[in-house]
Amino acid sequence: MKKDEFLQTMIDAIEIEEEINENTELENLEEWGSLAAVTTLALFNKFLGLKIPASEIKKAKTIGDILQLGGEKYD
Amino acid sequence: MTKFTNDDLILITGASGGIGETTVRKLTEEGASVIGIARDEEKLQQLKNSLKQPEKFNYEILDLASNMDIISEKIIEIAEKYGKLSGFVHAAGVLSVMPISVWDYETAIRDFNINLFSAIEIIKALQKKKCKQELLNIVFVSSISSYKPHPAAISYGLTKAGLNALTVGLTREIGNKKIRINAITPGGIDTNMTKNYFQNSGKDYIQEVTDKTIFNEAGKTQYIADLIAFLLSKESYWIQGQCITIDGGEYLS
Repeated sequence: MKKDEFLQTMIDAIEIEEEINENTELENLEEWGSLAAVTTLALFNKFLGLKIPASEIKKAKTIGDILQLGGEKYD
Repeated sequence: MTKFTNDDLILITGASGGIGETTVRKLTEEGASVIGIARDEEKLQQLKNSLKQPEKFNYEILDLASNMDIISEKIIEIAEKYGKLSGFVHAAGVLSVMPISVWDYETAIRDFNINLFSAIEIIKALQKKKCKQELLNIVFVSSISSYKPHPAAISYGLTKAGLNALTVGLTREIGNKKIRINAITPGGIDTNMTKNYFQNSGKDYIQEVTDKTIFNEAGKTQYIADLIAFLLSKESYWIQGQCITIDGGEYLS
């Protein structure tokens, strides 16, 4: 899965309605919260086979920080 | 004075880690022979090597998520190989983090296979005269999440609720064949299964459990193993078809 495809999957799963990009700050994102974070962890596992520890996602400040957790696993 | 005799032979799934592993230790120390079932041969052998009485522990490799058809045949083979069983503990379990927006049917089926259906396949064989001793004691490791499923881990709660109903249903159906069935519902325990489990509070799961329990302590596998041993022993003979909570008061908070 490509990085932008992963982002789109995230947007659909969390139902993010506003325009976002890698610089979007999570604390300004209405739909971001603990359930969104868990959903993202589940998506990393399902689509990239990655088990990201919760502590890593807690450190993320922007959408870009989150996408970076996918590392080498994107196509 | 030990709880069990040389004749006691107890089957445990999930023997390679967590609650299952501690239960293997407890039961062998209390005089029972144990057959452990898990997938990881290396961990099982390490467990055997580490026991005070390694001769009381043998293991068989079986993946409970695999072809469900072979599970009950495997139990018949185990009874032929080691002898008729006097106890069964279902300590195998998986917890999938799966919020509904990403609910995956295949993952849910796997959760049900491991946590619930495999126990039924095992008992299908175990309840036969050729596989059980006169009295067979069964303990399911359920969870308080069977009463209150965790957000984003609903599948786990569903499977555990299934175990609770199974306890009652099987007691009513086959209890009169001298089969005693009970379940335990622990709260949060520090094991590989709960590692990295992400709670709504954003706190570490075990820290959150610790904050909720009455004594502000974390749940330990030893406490759970102690109760399992009690429920397998003749000391608990008159307890039938029950789900017993053992959570340090976590559910009350």
